[in-house]
Amino acid sequence: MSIDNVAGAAPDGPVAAVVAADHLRSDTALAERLTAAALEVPGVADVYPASSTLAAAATGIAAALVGRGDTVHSGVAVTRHDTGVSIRASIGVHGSHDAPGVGRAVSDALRALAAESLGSAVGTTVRVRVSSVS
Amino acid sequence: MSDATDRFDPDPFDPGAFDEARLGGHTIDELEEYLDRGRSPADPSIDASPECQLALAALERLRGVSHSLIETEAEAQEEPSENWMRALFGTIAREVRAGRDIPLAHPDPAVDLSISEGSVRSLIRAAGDSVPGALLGRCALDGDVTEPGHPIRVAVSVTALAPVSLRELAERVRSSVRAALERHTELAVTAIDVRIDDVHAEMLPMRRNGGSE
Repeated sequence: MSIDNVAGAAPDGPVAAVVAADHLRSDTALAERLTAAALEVPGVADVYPASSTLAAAATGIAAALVGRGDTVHSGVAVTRHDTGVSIRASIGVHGSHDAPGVGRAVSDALRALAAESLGSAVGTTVRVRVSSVS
Repeated sequence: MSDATDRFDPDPFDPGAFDEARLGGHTIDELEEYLDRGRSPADPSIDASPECQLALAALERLRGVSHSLIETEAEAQEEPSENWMRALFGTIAREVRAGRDIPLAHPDPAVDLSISEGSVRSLIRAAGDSVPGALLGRCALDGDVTEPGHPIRVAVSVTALAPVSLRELAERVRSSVRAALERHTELAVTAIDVRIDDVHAEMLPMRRNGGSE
């Protein structure tokens, strides 16, 4: 993925549609890898959809049309915007682990994988919410 | 992000977004029915909702208590209080909602880490319910939980179910809640107020004997 594709300098017309489709595929694959990475962190019980089902479905349509927005998946969300990429995760934590420590470990895992996948030139923000402790 | 995307993307972290979906679009009665069915067939809209999962955990604990109460109160020839149960269901439904984002520290400024208010209230509920003879009613976090270090006062109401000293019961609840908050949050808790606002049948024999407060 090139940074030009991210930064809103993509060409118009059919070429733009191809670029948008490429983004959607690569972001969906990245979201799946991020979800798997979060689930591997000790203490993580669940990775909940970071977008509601309704929002995800509607956003999927919008993303397909404009080539931007959330990927359609059931876990971590990857969102492209003008200044970079934001990653959001909503996790459940096992009560036997401390929630802040697990949250920090998940944040670090997502940050590292995003940097590896997107490159350090892309501004990436990571938002992790502990949504349940059980 | 484009306007078009914004329109289709209510932030799921925004407490004001998608009101109707706060419990995964389900009512507390539907969650009760889901438990009745043994969570089968699996409903992804319930299983993938943290609010639903928190509510189900609380309802399961409540079921254990209510069975015990029904048996005890039947022996005492009293009617179990349907209103009491319904009120508690309503409290649980309100309190599992995500609510405010409570910050957790992270050294990287590009990381925004938080724990939801709903999960913290559920932690408190579980900690209180884990004390033998205690069942949590309402739970409130008083103070600006979104501001790190801001002094927070926790208030809980408790139904006493066992023949123990109410003062000792309150102290055990306070201790359990404090331990859970210290382990799972970074809140600056200055006080935990425990109010015993109900005493149920299991308590009555000891009260009649004058052994309780």
